[in-house]
Amino acid sequence: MLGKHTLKGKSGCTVLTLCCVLVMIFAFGCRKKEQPQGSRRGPSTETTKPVPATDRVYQADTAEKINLRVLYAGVPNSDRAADFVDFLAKHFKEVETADYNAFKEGQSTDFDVTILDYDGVNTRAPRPNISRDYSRATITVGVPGAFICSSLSLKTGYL
Amino acid sequence: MGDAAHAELLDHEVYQKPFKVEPEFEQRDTPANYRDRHLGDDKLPDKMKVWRVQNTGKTSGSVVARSYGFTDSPDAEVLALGFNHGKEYGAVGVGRHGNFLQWGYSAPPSKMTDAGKKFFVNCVCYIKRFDGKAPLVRTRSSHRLDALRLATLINRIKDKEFFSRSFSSDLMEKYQGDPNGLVQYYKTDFELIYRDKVYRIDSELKALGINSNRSVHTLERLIALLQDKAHADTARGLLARYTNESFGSAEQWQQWLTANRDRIFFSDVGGYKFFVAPKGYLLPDSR
Repeated sequence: MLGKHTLKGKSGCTVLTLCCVLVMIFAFGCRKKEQPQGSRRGPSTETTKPVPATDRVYQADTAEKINLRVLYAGVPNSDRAADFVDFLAKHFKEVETADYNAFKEGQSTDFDVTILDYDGVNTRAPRPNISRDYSRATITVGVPGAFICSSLSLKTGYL
Repeated sequence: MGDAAHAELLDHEVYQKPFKVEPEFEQRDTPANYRDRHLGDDKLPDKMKVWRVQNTGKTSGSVVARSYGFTDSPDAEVLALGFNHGKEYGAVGVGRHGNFLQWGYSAPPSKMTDAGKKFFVNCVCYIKRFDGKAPLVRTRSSHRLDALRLATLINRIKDKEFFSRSFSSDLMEKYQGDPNGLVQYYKTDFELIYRDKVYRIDSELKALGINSNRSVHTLERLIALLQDKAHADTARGLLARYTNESFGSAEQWQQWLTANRDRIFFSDVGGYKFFVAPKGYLLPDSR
């Protein structure tokens, strides 16, 4: 009986020890998986938390630049154009600029993607003369972009 | 449109690569204009889940395209629903039509959020896939949902001329002061709405017992009716109304249908016509 009890006692100790070890492993394991403060967070628990007014520091996920040739056609010497070009150059291997006001569709020929950007908001911005045969991959931006789309009878147009 | 997009559509590949776009969400009150323009019988929620694309702090300045008919052709897709205070829920903040991607937000990158920046880079990469894919249709008409939207306004807008390109004078007289009646008129035969100067219900299709003008099955029925002397002329007229083709014989019509059936689509916005997407135009993962 005693032996059995002793055995039970030893067994209980062993189980207790194992439990402690498992708890410690679990606890340390969880700590290792914790995200550092300020890292990206999942959306599910953040549904009602307002986003801070100030932008967070942007960090690219990939070290290498994306292998695309991008033509940015904007307003020369504007802060906005510099803003776009700085950003694009961080991400794409080749970024060149063109004058939005003098843009001709043939300028897109040597690029993978063309971005047509005036100032984002102006309803009276000039509209580049683009034919309906034009089929190069193109991004139009903001209100001026919507008016370009309207002039081409695209669904992405204004109204 | 202001700074935000609705949280729908985040499973689209444009949010996945090369950057995983992981927005931070907010709950916003449902704008009054959404309720005002809502055409469904369901009730919109009091709050809506959105995420900020940019941080200008303004509630206007960016732009959305109307949602009605945006996706009625396979060359167009919605990439972000713009949270807006001027148009309907579902209006398009970022969308693609053929080789054009319209980014409706106004701010330069320095004023985009982290998620907004990633989304923009992804858009640049995504539109590259559509290089050479010019739009299949151009906007030539308004979608049939516009008939319902405008019908709700007949009491609010006093200028009768405003509706002269939407509703016939007979209908305006019949439903004077009764927008709900006019809405119901179009809802009852919604699948048979087309435009010929104004929004009409296709009584010829209805008389043939055909209940939609935009189903490929309708083309099959009409082509079959070309062999029926009693209905051949009507069927020929309807094929002319709903296609850009003008084949002389029933056999030619059938050959055209057989050869293109998998690539035929109907677009209200494109002019209430059936169109054929060229072989190889549609990308496997583009829709």
